[in-house]
Amino acid sequence: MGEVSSSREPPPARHPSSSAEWGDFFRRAAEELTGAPSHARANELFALGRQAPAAVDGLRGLSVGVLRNATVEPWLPELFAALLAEGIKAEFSVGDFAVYERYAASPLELRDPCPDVILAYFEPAALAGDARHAPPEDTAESILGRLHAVVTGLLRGTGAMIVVSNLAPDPIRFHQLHADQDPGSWPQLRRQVNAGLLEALHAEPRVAILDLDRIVAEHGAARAFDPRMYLMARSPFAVDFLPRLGRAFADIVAAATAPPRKCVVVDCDNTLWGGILGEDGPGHVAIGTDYPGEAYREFQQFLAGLGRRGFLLAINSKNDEADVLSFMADSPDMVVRPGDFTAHRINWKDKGENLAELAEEMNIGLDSMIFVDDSPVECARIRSAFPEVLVERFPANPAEIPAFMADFRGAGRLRVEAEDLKRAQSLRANASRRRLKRGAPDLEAFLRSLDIRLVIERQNRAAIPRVSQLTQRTNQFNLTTRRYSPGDVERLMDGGIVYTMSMEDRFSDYGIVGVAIATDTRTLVWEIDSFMLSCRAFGRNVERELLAAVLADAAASGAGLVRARYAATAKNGMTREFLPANGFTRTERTDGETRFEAKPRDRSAGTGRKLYQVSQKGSLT
Amino acid sequence: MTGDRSLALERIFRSVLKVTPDTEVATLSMDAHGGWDSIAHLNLILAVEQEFRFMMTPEEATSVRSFGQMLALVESRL
Repeated sequence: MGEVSSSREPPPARHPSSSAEWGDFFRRAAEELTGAPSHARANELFALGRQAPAAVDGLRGLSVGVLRNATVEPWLPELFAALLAEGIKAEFSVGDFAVYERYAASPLELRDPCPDVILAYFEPAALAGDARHAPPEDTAESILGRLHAVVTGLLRGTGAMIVVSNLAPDPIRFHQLHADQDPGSWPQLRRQVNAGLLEALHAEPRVAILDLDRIVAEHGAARAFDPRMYLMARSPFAVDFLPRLGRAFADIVAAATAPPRKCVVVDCDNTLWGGILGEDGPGHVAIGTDYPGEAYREFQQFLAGLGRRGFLLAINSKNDEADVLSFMADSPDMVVRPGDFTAHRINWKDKGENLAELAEEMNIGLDSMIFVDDSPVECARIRSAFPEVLVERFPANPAEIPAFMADFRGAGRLRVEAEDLKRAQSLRANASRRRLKRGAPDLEAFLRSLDIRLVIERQNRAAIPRVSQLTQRTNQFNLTTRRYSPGDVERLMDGGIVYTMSMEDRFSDYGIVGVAIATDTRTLVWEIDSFMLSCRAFGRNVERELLAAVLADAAASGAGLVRARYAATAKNGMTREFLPANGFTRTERTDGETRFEAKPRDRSAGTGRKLYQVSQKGSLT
Repeated sequence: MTGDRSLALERIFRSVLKVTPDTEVATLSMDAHGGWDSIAHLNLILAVEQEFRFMMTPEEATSVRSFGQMLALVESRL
């Protein structure tokens, strides 16, 4: 033991002192931990997370409540680290064992104020107990009923996002050969519960299922569990599985709470196909049904699928434009064709410059782009020029393409709204609309020629997910840039009026393109809390119609004044003049925020009646 | 070798247990250190097993109650 006492003390840890230093420290530490998992290091970070100031530069704060029937405390460091890697600094509260119903009835007992996210974890062996051996007939129904009731209770009682785990295999497994294939056996009933859970909850905007069944299967059930620790301490998972669990949870939370990515920008050579088109020639690059062409074909199919799910696709490649486009159009082995891409930059210019141009052409922010390229130099260039772009380095070795797709981040949006599918279509239709614009003599005639139909709806509850999505995504035409979760939108509807505006023209149906949120609508002075327009609807002056609808409602309700504000951001300069240009008077200017007010007025004061067909739905009260 | 292991083990203890930088880790024991509760103990065992790539028996895991005992256990298993 002498060596122990004589061992050198490690240098005293120097902790960051400023909020910016903490931010850098956490981001770097999380990245290191991703490359070299260590439960000890994760514990250390987790403890530092509690010492650090509540607000840290560049990280979003998030509170997480965990409901459980097993020992989950050892996961928390890995959950914390995985969330850090997504730019989130989380605080956790863990409920008592197996009393889900108590917290569903009274959520503030878990954490006060209510957590942003509640993870309801159900360990199957503890949940089903003895019923796993020769289960009674109603086992699946009764478990499913319990899970569903807990989730519904949490939904009713909180505004939190609910992440519910499905049933993984048990940490204590027993093998019974053919008996396990019996429809009434526990493994089959467990699958029934999982299918029932998905069916009951997939349409709930505030619920996400943590698919533990699949994550455990991918990791390997034999390695995912630590049955010894389950018996000793009710702790089901092996330590080496915890980072995978953390990543799965962080993916869900990030996808649900961060503004989503909208566009995948790909390179061509050694990304869409193997080899270099300009050097090897069209007949010699690898694409097709033999390896390695098959690997690139798989990637093209993956890309095409993203396109069908509503992602915009674009090309950014150093190549000869005519060569690439004709190869992509003519090669029988290509899956994605030039028409699948909304925009492209195929030239010899700097890829950063190209990327900025692509963002502008598609009317989207750089922070909604994913950049895919096999060149480490190009990836580094984009990372340093535009930190907000998600850079995914494409593997040099085609055998690694499946792993690349399995880990592809940013495209894991939880739910694809029908709206997203329309968007890709409508942006492609923009090209022909621009041609029409050139031929039209003036803006008014152009707008009339588009045959625009607007539907303005009040309190459309079915649109809550889309409204939340628009508040999360809309950066340019957005007066206040307040981001709202679906739960927030629900609350705003209860306390005020949420307006949605859908647009259709003769080229396409754009779905919901505008949102206005009015608060204090039961008083004499209304407040416009939020007002935004999707970039898809720019350039048509339809935003005036939405504003006119709000002012007309205020007039009809007898209000004497409508207040509104413009909060400047780096991106919303285009809305600076919107309020004064539409009859609002400036009343006050503080740093970054200008306040306005206007008298309510009926629709006859609106300017656009002759240009658009406007219809309204939903009552004022 | 023992010195290296001792240092690695010390780092784990410092990471997992809430100790101040001037705490003498070599003399730490479960009874004397308030932060070494049952959850910290579980984390400690998982971290030690992960670092040194071996599995303790339940009897070992429950009987280890000091840094010295943990070091002796690690030495005996490697």
